[in-house]
Amino acid sequence: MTRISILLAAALVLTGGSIAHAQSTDRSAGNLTTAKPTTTTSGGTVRQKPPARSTFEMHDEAVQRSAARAAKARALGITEQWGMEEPFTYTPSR
Amino acid sequence: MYISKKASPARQREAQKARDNRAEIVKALSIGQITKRDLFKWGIYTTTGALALKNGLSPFARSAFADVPTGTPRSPLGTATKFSQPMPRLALQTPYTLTKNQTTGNAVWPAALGERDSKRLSWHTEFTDFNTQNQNPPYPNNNNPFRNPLTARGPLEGRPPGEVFAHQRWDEFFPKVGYVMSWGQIQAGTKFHPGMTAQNPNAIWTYGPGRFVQGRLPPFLIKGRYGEPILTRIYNNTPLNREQNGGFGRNESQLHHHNAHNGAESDGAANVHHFPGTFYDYRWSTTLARRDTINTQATEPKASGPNGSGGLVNVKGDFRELQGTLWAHDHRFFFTAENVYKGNLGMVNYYSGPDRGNEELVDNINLRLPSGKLLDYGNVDFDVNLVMSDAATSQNGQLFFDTFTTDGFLGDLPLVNFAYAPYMNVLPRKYRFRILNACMSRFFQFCIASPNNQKIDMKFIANDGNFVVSPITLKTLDHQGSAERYDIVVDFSTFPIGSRLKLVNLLEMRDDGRGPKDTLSLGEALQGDDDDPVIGPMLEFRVVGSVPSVDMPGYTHYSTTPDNSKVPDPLTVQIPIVAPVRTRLVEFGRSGTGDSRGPNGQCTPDCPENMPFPWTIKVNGQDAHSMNANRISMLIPRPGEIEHWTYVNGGGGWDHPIHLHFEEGVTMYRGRQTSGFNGRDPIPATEKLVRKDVWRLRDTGDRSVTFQVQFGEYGGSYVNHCHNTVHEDFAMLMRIQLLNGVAGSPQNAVTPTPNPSPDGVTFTTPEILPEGDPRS
Repeated sequence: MTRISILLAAALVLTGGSIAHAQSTDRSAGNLTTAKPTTTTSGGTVRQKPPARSTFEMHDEAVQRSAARAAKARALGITEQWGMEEPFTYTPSR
Repeated sequence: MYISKKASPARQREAQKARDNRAEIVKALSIGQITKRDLFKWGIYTTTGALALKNGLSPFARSAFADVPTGTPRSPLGTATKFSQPMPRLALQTPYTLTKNQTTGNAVWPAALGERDSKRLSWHTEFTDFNTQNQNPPYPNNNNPFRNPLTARGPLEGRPPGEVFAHQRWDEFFPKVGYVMSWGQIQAGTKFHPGMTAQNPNAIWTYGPGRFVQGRLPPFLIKGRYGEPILTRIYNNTPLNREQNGGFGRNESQLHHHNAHNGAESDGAANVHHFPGTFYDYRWSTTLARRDTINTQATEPKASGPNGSGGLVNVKGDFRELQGTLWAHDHRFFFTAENVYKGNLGMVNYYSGPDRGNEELVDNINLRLPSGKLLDYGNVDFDVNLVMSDAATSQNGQLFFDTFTTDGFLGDLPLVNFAYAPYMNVLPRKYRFRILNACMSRFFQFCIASPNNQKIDMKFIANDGNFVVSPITLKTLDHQGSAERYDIVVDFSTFPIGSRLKLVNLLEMRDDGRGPKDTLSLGEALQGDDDDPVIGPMLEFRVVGSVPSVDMPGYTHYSTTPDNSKVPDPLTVQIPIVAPVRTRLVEFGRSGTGDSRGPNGQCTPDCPENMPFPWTIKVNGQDAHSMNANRISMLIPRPGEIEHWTYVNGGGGWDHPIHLHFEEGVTMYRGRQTSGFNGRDPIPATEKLVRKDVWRLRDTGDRSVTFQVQFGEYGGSYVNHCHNTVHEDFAMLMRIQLLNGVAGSPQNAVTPTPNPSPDGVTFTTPEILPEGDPRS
């Protein structure tokens, strides 16, 4: 038995999983189109155009949220994620 | 992360077993025995793509023999010791003269080379046209004369077809010189040190001069000069079978000329990787930024390049935008970390009227910085490129990479120009050093220790290849993240012959590679660190009475020769900060999973199956996205508009060195804005109002930086990303679209996304995030 099979067998014991038929093929992406580029929303639904310029308040809030995320990640010993700072209240600094 | 040499044999075996297990998995993945989906299913991967903390697998899992992490075994050194081999200088490449065919407009190589012409349009265009005219399917195409000569599949040139990837402003920046290089397996017998094991051919893939030749170390050095556009033809000579990769690395590449002012088709990051057997023609235009708006008659003598005979060739543009210390490296999306680490890199020095590379020529333009005098320009006898990196090897001495890391990868071998901890003989005089951090994840912080272990003064003259206005005297450099370049001048004249000084890394990294931890005192660093052998001295300077010339082989420089080099003040003129046309906010952080895959489950370009995407980017506070080459996250609507951008670190203990392609920005402030163009956080003199192309997003203060940027001259698709290349590969990258091409050109509008494949390139229509598109 090879080292990898031993290792994987041990992992299976730990996880109770089963070995699926494995394939490792990279797939090329994209389809040829001829349409002109268009502006779309990422969700594919119509929504109000978000601001394409930032403001001091946006910077201010981003920094405050970053600090809140970092504090929470430190306190809980976990890796931060967007939104983990919630509930969050923005307090304008000027 | 690296376990101490003093650790018990049981711990050594445990760490080795864990690494062997990881290596077995990497191997099984690379040859298709298992998939990453299997690893998720078996609990070896967590949902965020990190390696599970299992003993016998993860270096961060608790050891069975002590209350410490398992760790990683040290790379075997063989009989190598520090400072026992001379430092290799980078491999200077010799240019060929190109001529213009007045009928075709092509650039013609010397006949002896047997190279096809270089053209404005890619040879892929002929390949596609031939298939269209002859009703041939794309594959097989054995009678297509423009096919890949090794595979008979797809075009011979990787640059995409048609006007979208034509060399922009071809006649205006017609290439005068050219280089032919191949990226391929390392030649036999290459070692990091004579006492270490020779690397197998597929352990290192790097560049060698010529067509379909093997790679060589040390990395290449190309000398460019303003007014002399360059054509760099790169052959992909890596194995046809991607599984023959020595355990890591992808046999596809696009060569990014970091951060030269080139058209998108030659930036090497427009999703245009090419395949074994093909070449790619990159035109490195030596364009001086703002040439369309400033000094348009080329009357400013500081905006110039050396003419080779003591004079200058004036060029259009703003001399305050001159670039000097540059490098080039792989940028194959999703595989950049592996490929660069594996040797896909080199350096490029740009020379100009002020930065001539000649320390004696007096004309009131030349700054006469330490360099040498034997050549008209580009002397490197006293102007030294230092590629600083870390590496690791397996227990059989082969270059090793742990592809399981999504946080950062740290090696335990300190390398300078890919040589293990070498020494360099220097004369007692001034030297210029161009220090590049070429690591995947490691940050450096350097000082130079005198023979009695005191820090000596250095003069900091350039950041990321851009002069500071006035030289800055320092004893310790700032943190230096991946891809950052610091130019310093060191004066050895006060040290007697026989003295030995050391370039010392003071910076302790976090074990997980997330960023810097502490700056050690010089005394602490000189003692070394059992956990991290890359802390401490990496290069020894030996003051000697004579050194052979690099610029003129056979010539010897002596210590008795006067040093007439200068470090004048000022070096350049400040670009003022002005009210912007618009401001933008970009946040770099983490999501549970990114959205690099489209609805069909595929990435653009293709990525490893089930690759996780923990890193994401937000623009102007909107939704977070991970990298997708078919998504435009920011769009620059027209040339010349001054913008102020703020980068914010999403938080969580990371330091991210963020790189903006194509344009430098003038660093304004760190932290939230207070009065004027100032911020709340301290900013070092080496950054304040200094032009840069990589900004470290620190984990201190407000975790933000703001800079001024102005785009122009070229259009097309570029990117902005974290240069911790491990983060970059896990999709912390976004596309920027410049609509700055000349009027009427395709690059004056949104360009379609190329999708390279061995059969050729097809195009798709990109999505544009509305928050990144300021067009009304």
